[in-house]
Amino acid sequence: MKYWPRKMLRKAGLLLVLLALVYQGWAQNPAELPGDEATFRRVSNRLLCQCGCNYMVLSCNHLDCSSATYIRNTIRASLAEGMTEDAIVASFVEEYGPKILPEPPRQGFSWMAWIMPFAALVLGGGAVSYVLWLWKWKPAEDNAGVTPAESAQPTPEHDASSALVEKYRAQIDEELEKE
Amino acid sequence: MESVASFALLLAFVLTLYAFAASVLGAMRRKELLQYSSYRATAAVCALVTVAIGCLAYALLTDDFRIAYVAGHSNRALPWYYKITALWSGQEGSLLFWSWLLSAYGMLAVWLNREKHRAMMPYVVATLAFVQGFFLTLNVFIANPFQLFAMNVGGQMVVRGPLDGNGLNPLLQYPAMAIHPPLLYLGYVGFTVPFAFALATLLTQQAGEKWLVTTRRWTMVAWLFLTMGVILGARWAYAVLGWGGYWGWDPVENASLMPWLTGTAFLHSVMMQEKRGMMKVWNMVLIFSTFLLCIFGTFLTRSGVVSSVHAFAQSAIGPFFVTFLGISILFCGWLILERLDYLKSHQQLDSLVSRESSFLFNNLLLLAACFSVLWGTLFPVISEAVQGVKISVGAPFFNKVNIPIGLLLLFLTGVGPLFAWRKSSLGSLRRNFLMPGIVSLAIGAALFALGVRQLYPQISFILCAFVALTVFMEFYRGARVIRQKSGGSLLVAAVTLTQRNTRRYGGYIVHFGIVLMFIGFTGTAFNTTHEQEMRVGDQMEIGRYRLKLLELTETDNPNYGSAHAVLALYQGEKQLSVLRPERRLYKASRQPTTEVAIRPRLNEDIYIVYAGMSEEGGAVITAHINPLVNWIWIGGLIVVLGTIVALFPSRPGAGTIRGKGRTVVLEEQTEANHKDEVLAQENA
Repeated sequence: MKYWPRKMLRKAGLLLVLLALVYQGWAQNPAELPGDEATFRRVSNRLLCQCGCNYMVLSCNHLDCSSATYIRNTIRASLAEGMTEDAIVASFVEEYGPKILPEPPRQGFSWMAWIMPFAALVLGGGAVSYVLWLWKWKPAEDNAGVTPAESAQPTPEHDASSALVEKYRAQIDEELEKE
Repeated sequence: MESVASFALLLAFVLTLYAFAASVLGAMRRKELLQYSSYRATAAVCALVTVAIGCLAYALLTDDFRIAYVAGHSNRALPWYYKITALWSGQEGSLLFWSWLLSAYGMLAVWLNREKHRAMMPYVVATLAFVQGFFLTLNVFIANPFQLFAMNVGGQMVVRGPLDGNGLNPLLQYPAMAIHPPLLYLGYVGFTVPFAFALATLLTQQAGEKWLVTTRRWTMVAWLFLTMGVILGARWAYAVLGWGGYWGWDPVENASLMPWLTGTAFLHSVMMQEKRGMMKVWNMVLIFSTFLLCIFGTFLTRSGVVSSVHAFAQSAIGPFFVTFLGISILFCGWLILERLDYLKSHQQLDSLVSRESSFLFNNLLLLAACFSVLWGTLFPVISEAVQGVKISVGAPFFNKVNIPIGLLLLFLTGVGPLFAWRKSSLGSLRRNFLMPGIVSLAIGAALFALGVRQLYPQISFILCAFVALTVFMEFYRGARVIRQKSGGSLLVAAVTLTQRNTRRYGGYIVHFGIVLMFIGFTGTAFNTTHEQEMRVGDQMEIGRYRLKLLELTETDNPNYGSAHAVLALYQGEKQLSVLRPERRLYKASRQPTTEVAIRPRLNEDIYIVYAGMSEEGGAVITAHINPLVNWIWIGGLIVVLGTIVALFPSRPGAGTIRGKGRTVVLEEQTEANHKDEVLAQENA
């Protein structure tokens, strides 16, 4: 705490509080698009262009792209007919198959796409926790035959400089206590 | 000339086989003569591949269309600098370029380390020769860039090229593209050297960790190039592809990100081995994975196994890569298992709240991000193999999965360095975390009041503030102490501090660069887009700006014809600038491209695309407002700067300012060394 110029921090804090109060009522969400255009953008952002560009239909900017142009025109026509967003997307899935969706559908085998990354994270987290537990509580059993001196051989380059920093840290702590 | 080049490649291939055999035999039979002979063979291979690539560059510059590669990737009207870039724009050329870089890296690695790591070097050379041999096999037998055009003239096949070539892919005709692939390749290929050192260490069971310093430095060099390559690639996508973004989670983009993630994990976890002698097996796994992911990335780019807008060069060389990858994975796996005893280390944790724990979680998150990218990239192939239906995996999937992981990583970027090695006391935690925590939360509250209501952007901005403050604190605290001892300004003291431990403070600079990049990434959440068909005189409103179409013009040059839309940008009644988005039609390849017009500012870019002419004869203009995007490029530069700083050797004695304080510093250093010795004795 004492490393920070207190007066400056207090002023900054006050300023932030004032800003928050002044702008609370004023803050608004970004300007919204007209209904049809917003719906068109949402739908065309739920479909993948089929020209091989890997972009959303909304984002594909290939000149005269036959795929994006056709899909965009069809979306506009479908919206004009009063179809809902989900119905339009479903009609494209029927026409092209699931490959037109930019992300795997949450059904059947495709669930694996969603589950695996988080499963890996959870399993990895479990493994890391187990390793930490081993290192913390069972060092003697797992490290038989290997002494810290054998194992930890910090490089000369590492030593002096990091030791200096540690020393500075300690020195700062002492100075703070004095203050 | 093509005969000289082909012969040079063939000779290089033979010498590579010799280098492999001589180094292995030299090591097994302890014949120094054979070992040194293999080192010289490595240098000769470099010279020969240089001759070959020089010949190809010459053929491109002189429009020698008898050579099929030149005819396929260049044309007469192409500017000379793009003729050079045509070297790596196609399959055969890019593989030759890879071989050349590898031979140069190999020669440099041998030259710099032949005395320092005498026992290991034969195995390093053998590994490098093995990888070099694979690529030269492709260069000589599978994808030779010196194949000649044969034409049927009067019933007889004669060597004769077309009058003009097909030209370079127009998407590659952009300045950043001239240096993006070489940098990316320097990164990919560079990871071969630490891989070779790691493999040689396991084979020779080196005592001590001296090899680790060498490996870490080579890894940092490769990581630096890969970082620059990835950032320049993003910049190229932003300025050339014209969809308003910079990262589309394309398979080829993902291929460059994966080794970057594992390389980053290694650069962190290697500190555990250097400092505490821990995680030896894990570090081996990371360095092997990084190299293998580089090869896998090249395989993805070249094989056509996944469709990508970036895959400029594809052919049926996939099986060769799969075989090479399979052999490498099996050998590396077997070697690690075989050497588990050698890799056994002292794994003791003093406290769960320590730098060691934070590094473990940092590695977990980096690897989880890498796995999710790999899984998403391969899922279309897997789904087709399993259920016969191809499932697409695009940007929304990658964003949903990786944004939370990225934010957790950002959090650790701030928290990790504040933990002490071995154990962090409650007092130091409070002292280190309290103020950055309060200030960043206050910034979050202010942003909420200003209208930032989305969850991820809120969290991201708070974390960015938190990490930036922690980095600032680290510099401020250290610099303040130095200033008290040595005098001078705080800035000079900060420079001195950095010189004393370049790796540590270079790392903090990298972290600060990452923060700036995250600020840029977060800006994406506030992007605005508007598309409108315009005739001359029409106006378009976007955000607080107004665009007026002034005129539509056309120009022509030998390489391409282009159409410009000239638009005036207004804010209120004030004209800010005139923007000229462009559509080009390249004559040789008959390929159209868009050239966006960007008005870059620190707060936001105005990004205009001339998408084309509508059937009704109006110009279709797409306008994007991309807030904060420039912080990505600025952050990238700072990351590069920080890595360069970290690569310089530390000068623990630095700090003599205007002749004062030298004695003090030396005393401190002696004391610090003494303290370390005492600590080591206590640990023992």
